[in-house]
Amino acid sequence: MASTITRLWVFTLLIPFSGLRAQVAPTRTDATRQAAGSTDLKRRAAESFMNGQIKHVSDFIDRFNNAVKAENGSENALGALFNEDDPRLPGSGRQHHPYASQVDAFVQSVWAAKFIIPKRGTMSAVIGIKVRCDSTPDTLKLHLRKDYTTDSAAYWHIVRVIAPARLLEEKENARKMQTSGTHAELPPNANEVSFLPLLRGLNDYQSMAPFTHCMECRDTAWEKVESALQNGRMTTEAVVSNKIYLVARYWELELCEFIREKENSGWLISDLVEKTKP
Amino acid sequence: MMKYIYIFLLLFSGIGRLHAQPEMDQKRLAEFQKLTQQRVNDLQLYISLIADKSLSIEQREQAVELAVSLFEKDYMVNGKRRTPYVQVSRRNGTISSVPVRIYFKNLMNVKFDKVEITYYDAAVVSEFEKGTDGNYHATATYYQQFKGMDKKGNLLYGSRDRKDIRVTAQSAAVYAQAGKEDLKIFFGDITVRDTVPIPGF
Repeated sequence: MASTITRLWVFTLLIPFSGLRAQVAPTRTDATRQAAGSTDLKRRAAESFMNGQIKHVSDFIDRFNNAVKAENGSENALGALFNEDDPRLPGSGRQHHPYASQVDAFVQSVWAAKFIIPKRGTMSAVIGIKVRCDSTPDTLKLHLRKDYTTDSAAYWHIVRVIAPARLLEEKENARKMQTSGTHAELPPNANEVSFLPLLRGLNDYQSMAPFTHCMECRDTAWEKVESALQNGRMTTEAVVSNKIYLVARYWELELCEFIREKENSGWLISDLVEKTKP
Repeated sequence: MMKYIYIFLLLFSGIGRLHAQPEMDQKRLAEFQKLTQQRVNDLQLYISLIADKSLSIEQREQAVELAVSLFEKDYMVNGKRRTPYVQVSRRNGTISSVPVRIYFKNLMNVKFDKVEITYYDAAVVSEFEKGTDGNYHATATYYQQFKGMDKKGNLLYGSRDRKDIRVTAQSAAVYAQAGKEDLKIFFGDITVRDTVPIPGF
């Protein structure tokens, strides 16, 4: 009896380790791959612009912080994070623009104070969605914010709506709508794919309510758009613009994605705003 | 007596599994990144198979199913499981969004006699970030060159584009409890940006 109980205790001790199996997914095999063995996957070496392009916002933050910490060439590395095709920046045949002085002031302040952008810092976005309102093409602008939960998770949600002009001009108040209690949180990387999860959600729910968590964000413009979505007057088609805003100490950085075949491409600074120092 | 001891042991041995979703350490998340790159390779192979007109329709349709199986199945809507979307932005300013299955079917039915797809050794996966659903999320990016030709091999259409794919690593706890593998990568929405037409087209 005693030896049986000892065996059982040993058995019990082993049970929790059974959860450690399959840490790595098994190798995939499939018939199609074997049947189509004649199809070669053609590959080429990466071109220089592919390596230089800033592909993700987290990549931008890494490059910014690395530039700040660099012993040499910090100013050049910071300068490379701006859109070099911006006509406001110095270049051949370009006239001096106050924005260029602002960029210099920013680079100097970063260099002097060595401040970095936290990975989980303030991040917001303004996106433009091509819509049809009463069958007429228009643009709906949405402001979104990335928030973080206490258990280190992140999500995007709508904080402000800029309604198409035709809706705002209507004098009638939006009819009070029934908003469902559905609560949806957009994934933390939704910004990297032009907020497609939001576009799909707006189509599926015909409502912004699941993605608007703050009740104070539901102002008149929000209600007018929500009403138009619910009654089918407005349908969403595609995300046509996507701007990301990051805060670096007293500066707000506007990032736009520049898709072009040169090293200065991807997520780059397209504008700067100096915020009031406390 | 032994029966009660067995019941007691089995009941208490399961308690350790009821804790909340585990936090992933950096080493584990790096494993997820490697696994994602393997999945990107799988997707690239399936896309090549879908576009390969020398293969039978059945083989190409099977490649469509395999490609779609890499993508997450979303919530039920009207009795259907929805798959993610692909948004294609063309240089002429047109933007279209279609479900992934339709995107792959369209690729299967392109009117060219021969299609050649080339990939570049430039695929990257961003760091994984935890979402409120308990899953971890990243973005995979790769570049692809597409050439559509006639029977004589003349180039009729060519472009090089960049694809960004939303990636979800399903929570380990869910899969461990279900007795399945605990690293599970699914693809989500894709954006395709038409970067440059190939010279000669």
